[in-house]
Amino acid sequence: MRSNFTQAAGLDTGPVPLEPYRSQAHFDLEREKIFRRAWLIMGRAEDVPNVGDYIVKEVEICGASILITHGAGGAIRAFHNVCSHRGNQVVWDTKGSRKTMFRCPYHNWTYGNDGKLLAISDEKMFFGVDKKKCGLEPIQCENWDGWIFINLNPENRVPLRAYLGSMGEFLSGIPYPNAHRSIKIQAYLKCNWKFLIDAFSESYHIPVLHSKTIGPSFSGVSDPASHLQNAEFFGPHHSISLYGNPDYRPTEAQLVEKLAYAGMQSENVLAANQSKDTEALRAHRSVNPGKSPTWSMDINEIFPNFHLDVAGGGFWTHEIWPISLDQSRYEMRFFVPKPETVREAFHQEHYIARLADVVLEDLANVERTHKGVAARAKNHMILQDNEVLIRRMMNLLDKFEQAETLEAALEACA
Amino acid sequence: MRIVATVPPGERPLPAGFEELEPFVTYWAVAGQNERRYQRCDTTFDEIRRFYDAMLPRADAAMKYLANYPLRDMPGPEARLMRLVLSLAQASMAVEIQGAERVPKAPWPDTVRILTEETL
Repeated sequence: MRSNFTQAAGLDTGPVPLEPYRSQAHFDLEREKIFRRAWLIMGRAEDVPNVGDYIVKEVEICGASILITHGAGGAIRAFHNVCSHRGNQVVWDTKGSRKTMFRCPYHNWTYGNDGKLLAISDEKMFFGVDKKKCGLEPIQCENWDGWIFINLNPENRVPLRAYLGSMGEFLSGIPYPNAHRSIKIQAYLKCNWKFLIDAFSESYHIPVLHSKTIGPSFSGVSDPASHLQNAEFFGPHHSISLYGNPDYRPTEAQLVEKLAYAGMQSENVLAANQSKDTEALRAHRSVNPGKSPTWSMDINEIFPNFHLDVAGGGFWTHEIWPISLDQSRYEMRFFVPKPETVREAFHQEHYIARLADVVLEDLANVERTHKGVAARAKNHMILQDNEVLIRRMMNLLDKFEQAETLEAALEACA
Repeated sequence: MRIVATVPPGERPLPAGFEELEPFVTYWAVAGQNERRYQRCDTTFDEIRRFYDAMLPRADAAMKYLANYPLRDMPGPEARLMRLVLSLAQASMAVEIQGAERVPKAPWPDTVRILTEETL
């Protein structure tokens, strides 16, 4: 029996204003009240597995370049990638390893990967610089279940665990297969970031927009409209479960698809892993929380811009980063095993090729939607129950924008 | 962007027994998932179909043959055959799923990039 998710979320059912998607004032509020205050995803601990590893991530909306290092003793730290001398970026590549020191390529100021300023070239010509006070500017950085988050507010007093709250408890302990290896799909889009959040937050569009690519596996006789199976709400975060067609088989003519999946004992046609490699994942209490026999995947949205999606065949993430009111960066990471044979590589090529087509169908659409909304022909959108996360997201953004502090925002979303 | 696979002088394009696939090497035996996807998207449906029709009946035999070689350290002819096999997965998106060379009405070519940690 399905319920009315919109009502369960405590939301009204009226039309929803479109102004936040097209107004610079809203975008400025999002920068100050959300991205400069919320915990933001940076990646997996496996992205910096060894001492001396580092990655550099951009948070364009805040104009920030973030250096994340794995220091001696195992500490994962985050710093502003900004030289104390005159403000240049210290690290110019996006990742690296075996590097415990960073030398700014502008004038050779040298920092340890713990942020300390170690050396100033031609130091004698300066006027008594206190090196202890000139390290890289640290950023709050915490790890939850292997996920690395930062908080750009130096005054922040909400620990990551408190920020994730009951969502963190709900998802904690999920074993993530192949968390060390991912294939990334990256795109720069001419649209407001929220259209990307919306695009990956509902199933209503799947049988229509993706009618050829994944429509047949995400809708079927028992659920032609791909209704949500479950929805749970946790403070500013939420989770939904999607239908999967248990009767899906490739058609007679899909010979390459059959060949690609010939060696696979998998849960779903969209599977990076063999069934045996996702047993522990599927057994987790919060994966397919209703333990539905016709389940395909869960979409777990961690506010504001991170989706952690879990399916019978593995897991993947979406990161959605605003650049300006009408420009965004989108990154999807599929965590996949390292192929050891040509057959495994062939299966993975087929898997990713289809996903790239699916994502392109979504991405072409978000630019069209932005154009339509920016035309100001309409002032509201009309949402149905299976689009509950879109309605809820607009409500959450409003609460964050009204709140004086992050504590107050979380209180308002409780 | 124009990408091609090159055959060094003195090397055979493909292993013995797969000669009939040689006309497809230059265009389809390119290294990299993003590059193979690009090739599929950057040609006509008829060209994709021609490659698909030639490659499909040989794909299983090719994978059986290539099982004797290490995936990441194949000699030139075997590496090119492997890339032809991988390109078949890309071509099948057009032939078996979209019925068109690319996602219809989607911007091309720069919207989506596939970034991998290794290049096969």
